[in-house]
Amino acid sequence: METQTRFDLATAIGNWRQQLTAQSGLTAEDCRELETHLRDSLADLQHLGLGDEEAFWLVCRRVGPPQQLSKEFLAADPTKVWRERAFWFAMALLATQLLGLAGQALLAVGLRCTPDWVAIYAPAWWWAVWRPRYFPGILHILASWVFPFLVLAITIKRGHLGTGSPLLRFVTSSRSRLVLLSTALVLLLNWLYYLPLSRTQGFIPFLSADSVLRYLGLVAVVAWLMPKQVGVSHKEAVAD
Amino acid sequence: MLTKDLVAASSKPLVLSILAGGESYGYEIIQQVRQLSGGEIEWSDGMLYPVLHRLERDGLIQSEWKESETGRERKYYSVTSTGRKTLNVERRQWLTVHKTLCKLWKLKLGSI
Repeated sequence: METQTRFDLATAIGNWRQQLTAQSGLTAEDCRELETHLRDSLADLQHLGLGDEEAFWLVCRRVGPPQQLSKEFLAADPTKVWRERAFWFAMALLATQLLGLAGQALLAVGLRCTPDWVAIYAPAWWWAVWRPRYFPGILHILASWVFPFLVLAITIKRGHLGTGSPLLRFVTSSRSRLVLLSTALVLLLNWLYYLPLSRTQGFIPFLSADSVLRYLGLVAVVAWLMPKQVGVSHKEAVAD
Repeated sequence: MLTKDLVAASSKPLVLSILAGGESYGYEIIQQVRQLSGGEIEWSDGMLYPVLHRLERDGLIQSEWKESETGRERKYYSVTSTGRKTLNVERRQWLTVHKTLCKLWKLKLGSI
């Protein structure tokens, strides 16, 4: 008995998109722009009476193979892909820095100790860490270095930081939103971090200028490197 | 059909001229060029985007993602003031070539 596989346009477009995103010379925005082009062409051909399968293969031929597209895009702007990679690198750095700051702030509030107190108890040598008086220092190191990477790894593992992630889409929907949210978070966490200091020493918690400037500098770099559109789900991008 | 070199050379004034008439997106630009040239100028679909991106990088055009009337988001391009100045220079240069060739071939301007 002859079996016939039914052509599914959505699956075919999904496969085409996968091939496109696998190309090193194309940024997420390039892929998205090409997909809108593909869908525009498809709509026109379907309007002329062509079936899904025929229209899809014709459009694919017109647009060209993904490898060729990647070469042409890369030749036009070789630095674009690296700029996008630099953005994601800076974004990951900012996320780990903010998570580290959050960990330190939570620890400072939880232990009701000033950052200076924690710093005094931080062990100078790694083999001394097992002494009980160094425990707050160990916690401080865990909060600064282990906690951020752990949270980031779990979030990525659970798929909350994929290109279609609602959180990522919300934060990166505009450059001004990214800057405002990050700045607010930096100021809030710094304030929390210095809160115990104000209780023990009786003065209004101030923001450590060098610490704030360091984080805000990173926020500025991320905003500067940010492409026009990031973290947009394909479903939304191509919805008719 | 035009040669590959001529297609490449004419892409900049063509894109700038189309966008000088109003914002547009990749697919529409290709369709417009095909229609205006009577099918003589055939741009491969994938070729236009690197051209658009290069013009944007040079500050001649700018882009913005916007929702179209169908609800689908598209990247719309529009010409910048620098782009308009460049288009004027391009226009003068192409017309000079055109006039020279017309004189050489003893053709009246616009009679083709």
